[in-house]
Amino acid sequence: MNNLLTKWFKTPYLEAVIMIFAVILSYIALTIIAALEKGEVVGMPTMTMVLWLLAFFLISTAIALVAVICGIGGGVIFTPIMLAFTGVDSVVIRAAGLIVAMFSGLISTGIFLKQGIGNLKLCVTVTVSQGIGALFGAWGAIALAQIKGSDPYIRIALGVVLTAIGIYYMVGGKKIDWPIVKKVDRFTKMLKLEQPFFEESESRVVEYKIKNILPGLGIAIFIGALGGFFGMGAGWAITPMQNLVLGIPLKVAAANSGIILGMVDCIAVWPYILTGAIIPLFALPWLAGQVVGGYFGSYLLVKIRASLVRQILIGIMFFTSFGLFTNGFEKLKLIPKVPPEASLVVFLLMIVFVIAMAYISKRKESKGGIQA
Amino acid sequence: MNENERPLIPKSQLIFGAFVHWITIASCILSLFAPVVMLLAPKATLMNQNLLFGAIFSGETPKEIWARLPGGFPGGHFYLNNILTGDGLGQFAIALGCSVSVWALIAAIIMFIKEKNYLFVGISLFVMLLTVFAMSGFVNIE
Repeated sequence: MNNLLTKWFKTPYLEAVIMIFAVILSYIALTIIAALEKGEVVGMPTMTMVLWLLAFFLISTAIALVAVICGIGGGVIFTPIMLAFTGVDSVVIRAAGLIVAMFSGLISTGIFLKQGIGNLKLCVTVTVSQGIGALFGAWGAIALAQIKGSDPYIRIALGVVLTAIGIYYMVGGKKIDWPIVKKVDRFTKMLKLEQPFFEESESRVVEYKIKNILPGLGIAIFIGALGGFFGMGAGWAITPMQNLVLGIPLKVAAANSGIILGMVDCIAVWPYILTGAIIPLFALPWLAGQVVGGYFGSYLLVKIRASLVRQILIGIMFFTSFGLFTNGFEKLKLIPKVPPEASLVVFLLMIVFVIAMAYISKRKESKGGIQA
Repeated sequence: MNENERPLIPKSQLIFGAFVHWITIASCILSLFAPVVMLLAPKATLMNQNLLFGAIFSGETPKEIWARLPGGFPGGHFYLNNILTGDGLGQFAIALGCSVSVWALIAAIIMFIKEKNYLFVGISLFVMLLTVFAMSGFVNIE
């Protein structure tokens, strides 16, 4: 009994208990306050508001679970969906999108660094470049918002970016998990960034080398600017950059990506906060959901097949791109209003597409198993 | 392979991770209870939250939303003078979480100095100053 109690007062159980208790208590309190409300209310009824807050929290938790498992920021799912399917102003969405992108990264930071799979020295080095890019990207986004009529173009541009990411995830799914680095340049060697870690799934110590840090940092500036501009973080790009350019093992790259994302967005988010684009009541349930979902997602990461989640993500990305393109073209009056039935048909097609991809991938895996 | 054969993780990394972990959780707890304060004490809250939520969903810009306050947007660090109000507490939760890398990097820098890893003292200091620079609003784009 004593041992059991001691276990629950130790990390990681302690944080889980505190967070679950706080979630239950706060939403019960909100519901009671709304139920006891008397008289006429100017604006949205309090109970409707509480239901929205709860819905935001639950959606955010689900997004964080998927985002951490896929090694991406939640903003890449949140921002396009909100832009495509709600009438909320694009700056408010992109500002909240950065909150969504960064907090799942922040909560997974402690877990990955403690496990040794994250590499702090590499993360701060990449953050220097990416942070500068993100700051300029966020300023650019707010400056562009002052120009009337820019909104449809932002939606269309984000649609293009998202389609490109979706295609990348489709064709680049089978990346090299453990890249072999034969030659390390002098500058990278000088930084001494390598850090061995214990690979749980294979019960062995992995010692990896890093190369091309200078070109990598150049690319990180561009990635940072893109993430800061669109308010969706940059985990979707920083993971492949580390894997393909720096030669870092995929698992380390995914863990580092979350850490870098958290640090970079601590820089990129401030222009939004300082111009009032982050409205506390709107952003808070998204923030809390990211922390709770990201926490459990970090521990689930090792148990769930990442390939399946990646396939779901491809479906989400293509469906959201469709919404962004049609929404943008409608605003530019290039096409008539798309009926909701058409969106539903596209959504069903995407589900069929995801199931087909999962089936093909499973067949390939089982064939590989037989041949082996 | 037993636990003793695991590679040692630098203390700077462990300390940084612990700071980020607990401050993020603190920010999460505050962000769960700030809406309760907003609805429980609407008179001690800067903006009418019922009106605010309706305005967000009707697609109003941040400028239009904050225009409801006398004097408009009170500034990103308005929680400093309004910490006991609902929106002040909410903004503090956001600011605390969004500044977490500064506090964690201060701790990491101290550890890097102890580890005599001066190159990363410099790099970490640069990232920390970049965040402080962004927080200060030194460059006003408006």
